[in-house]
Amino acid sequence: MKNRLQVSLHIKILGLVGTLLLLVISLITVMVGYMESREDVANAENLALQTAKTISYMPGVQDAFRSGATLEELKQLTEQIREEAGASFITIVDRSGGVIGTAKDETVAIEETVTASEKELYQAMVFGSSYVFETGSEGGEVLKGVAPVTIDYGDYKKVEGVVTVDFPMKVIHNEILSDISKIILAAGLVFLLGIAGSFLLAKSIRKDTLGLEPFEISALYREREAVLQSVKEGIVAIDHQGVITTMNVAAKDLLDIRREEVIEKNIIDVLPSRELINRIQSPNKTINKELEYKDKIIIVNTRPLIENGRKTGTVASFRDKTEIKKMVDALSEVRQYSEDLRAQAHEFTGKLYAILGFIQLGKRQEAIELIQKEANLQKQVSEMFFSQIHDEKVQAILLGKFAKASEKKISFKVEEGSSLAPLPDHIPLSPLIVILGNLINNAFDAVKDCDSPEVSFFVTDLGNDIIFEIADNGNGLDKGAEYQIFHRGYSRKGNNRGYGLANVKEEVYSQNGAIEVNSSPGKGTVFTVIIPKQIQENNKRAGG
Amino acid sequence: MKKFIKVLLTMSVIFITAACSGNASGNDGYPNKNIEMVAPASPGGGWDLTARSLEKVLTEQELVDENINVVNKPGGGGEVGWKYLKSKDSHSLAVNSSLVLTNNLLEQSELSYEEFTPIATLATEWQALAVPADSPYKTASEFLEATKEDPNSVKIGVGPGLGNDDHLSLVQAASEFGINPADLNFLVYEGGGDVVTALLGGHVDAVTTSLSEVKDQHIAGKLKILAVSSDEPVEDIEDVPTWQDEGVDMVFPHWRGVMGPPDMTEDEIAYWDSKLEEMIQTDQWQQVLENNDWEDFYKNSKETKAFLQEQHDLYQRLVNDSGLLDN
Repeated sequence: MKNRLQVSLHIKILGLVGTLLLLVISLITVMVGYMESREDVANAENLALQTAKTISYMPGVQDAFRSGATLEELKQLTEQIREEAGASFITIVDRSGGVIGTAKDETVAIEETVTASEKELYQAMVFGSSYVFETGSEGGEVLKGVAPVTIDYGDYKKVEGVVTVDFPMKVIHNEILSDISKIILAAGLVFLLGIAGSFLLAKSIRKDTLGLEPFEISALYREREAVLQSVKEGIVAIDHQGVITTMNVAAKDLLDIRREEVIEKNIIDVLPSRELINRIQSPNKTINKELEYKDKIIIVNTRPLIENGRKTGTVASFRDKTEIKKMVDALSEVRQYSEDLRAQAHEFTGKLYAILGFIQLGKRQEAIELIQKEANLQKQVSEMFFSQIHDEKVQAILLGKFAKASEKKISFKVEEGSSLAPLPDHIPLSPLIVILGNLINNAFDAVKDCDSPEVSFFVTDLGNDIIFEIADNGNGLDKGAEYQIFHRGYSRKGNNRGYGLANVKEEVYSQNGAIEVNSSPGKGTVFTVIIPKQIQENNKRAGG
Repeated sequence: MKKFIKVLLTMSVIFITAACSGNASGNDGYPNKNIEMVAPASPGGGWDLTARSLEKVLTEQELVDENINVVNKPGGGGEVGWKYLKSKDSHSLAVNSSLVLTNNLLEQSELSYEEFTPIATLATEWQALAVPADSPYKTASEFLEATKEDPNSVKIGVGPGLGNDDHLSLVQAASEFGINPADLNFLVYEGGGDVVTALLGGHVDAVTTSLSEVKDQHIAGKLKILAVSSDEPVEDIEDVPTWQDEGVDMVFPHWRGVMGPPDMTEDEIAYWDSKLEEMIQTDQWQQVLENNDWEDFYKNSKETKAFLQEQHDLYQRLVNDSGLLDN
């Protein structure tokens, strides 16, 4: 965090807005200043030209030219105009270039009053044009307006003289300077306002983000995303239009969504289940609703987000009911084992009391017989187990089932010739519990109404596969039921059941194994489960 | 962001398509509608005459299939008409003359000749310096000498305003002779006719005007033309010397031409080059020239462009100070 440049939001906004403002304002200032100065110059030019023209048209001037009036008479007139227009110097010359009228601002130095040259008056004199130009020496530049004095003699007109009017550039420059400083002042004010505004903006953003800096927010966001992706529960969030804003990996797995890009897609285009979409888009919340989705049962929770009475989106979470069911089954299986062992312990306690009774009564022979009988029974069981079945996981499962069988008075035997080395590590306990537990329990259920209930268990791991065989002498399956028993929801035990064999099948497949059922009515049923010892690879299977 | 870029792309595609189709239809068979011939003056003047002559010959000789309409836009020494032309498409043309140059040079107009498309120079008149039949000045040289001696004593009539070709031709002649044009004593009359009247009435000592204004009077002996601004002696008055004959190195055409609005295409210019070249060779056009005392002065678009540039430089020199005051 520290090696990267972490600037606070304040600095960032101030810097950006400040730079931008400075750029824009200086550009505008330069442009306005330029235009303003151009306009000032244009105004001054216009004023010089118009003053010169006005003087040339003035009856007094025209009369002076007609009658040859003296300089003195014109002096007052020109002085008055000069005063009014703010010009520094006015001259009226006749055709020969002789000055016949002049007026001068006394405050202006002599060297700044420039008499127009013959060249500068040429156009006015020859062509009767009026024009304006800049002239004068360094520091004493003047704007000179020139207009011809055209006298109308009735039949014809004639250019008799020229009026020139000077405006010192210094005055114009000063005007431009004062204009520009006003603009700069205004620009500075706007800049300060902008800075203050961005300061407030930064503050307001900080308030909205709970005082967090943007990088902190992004860190939080990433963390939230990681949390969301790591939970086992599927989570989907949509906005008010049904567009997906969040979907974690678990949701994708659970809802079996293969496409990569789901964010910003509409939920209608992503989910295939109309029912689920309706549930998610409904304005009411859903709690633990079970829905069939593809071949799974999922538990859906939805929670609409309401803001100011309007729905702004929905968050939905999913869990796989099948998985939960499996867990519950495994748990109850384990609980069953402990129950069974307790029952057996109870039985043994009963037998111990019987032996104690025989001994106290002095009936030693009976006591010995009872002990020998029990010992034989145990020996037979343990021999079978411990000599032939070496895998502890299977031993544990079978021991539990023996207890249950003896309690239910079912004859549960491990067939001769069974043998099982310790199972490879890649076969864990829980699938074994599900497979063997369910199959043996089913067998117990199948024989519970028989006169001499018998269930036998056979296992062998000769060859590449481990083969389990569970046989019962019950009534067998109904005709055609072989195909249905593995489907979810098929059960002869009542409603909300029928997960057993479906789970068994799933677990067998998850171990790349196979399951077969062989049933003859009235004679019983045999389930055969084949699980390969080695982790399957496609080419190996093809080769073997 | 993506959407924004999409919209931007779509819009630029639409614009480009529109621009392309606009261009395509623009080039499609010029001319494809009525042609407007702008005369920047009232009916009856020289420009109006030029415009109507063009219209008549081009139409009657069936050189142009589209209708040609003459439009009069008088005012501002041609400026109103030319400003109007500037806003039109290539189906409008306007008649012009040296005023298109001098208006700008004398700061009377913002329009510059460079803003238009030169089409052709068609004809010219020549300028004449005339004096009364009983004038003491027998030749142009004598006249100039006397003027140089005492500029104020020689009153020269000109009209209708300073800065026109009548005025400028004498300004040039005088400056070539070494007289400061600022010293010339010009009296400005309302028009060409008034100038001649003033001359005949003895109010002025000389006039500078178009040859056509004084040619007939000269032949009739009522006044005397001292010099013409042509390069060769003029038909019917072969006795009158040119300025060059008088030792003043000057040929001063008072030309008339045609120009189009800005940015005409090569094809459009080529169209008029071929049509006008054909036109000036017709007998009808030759008759027009003869009737108006005009002389053939045809230059195509390219030549006109160079001619205008050359004339502009000349006028610029005349208008500024005739090159006399450089010091």
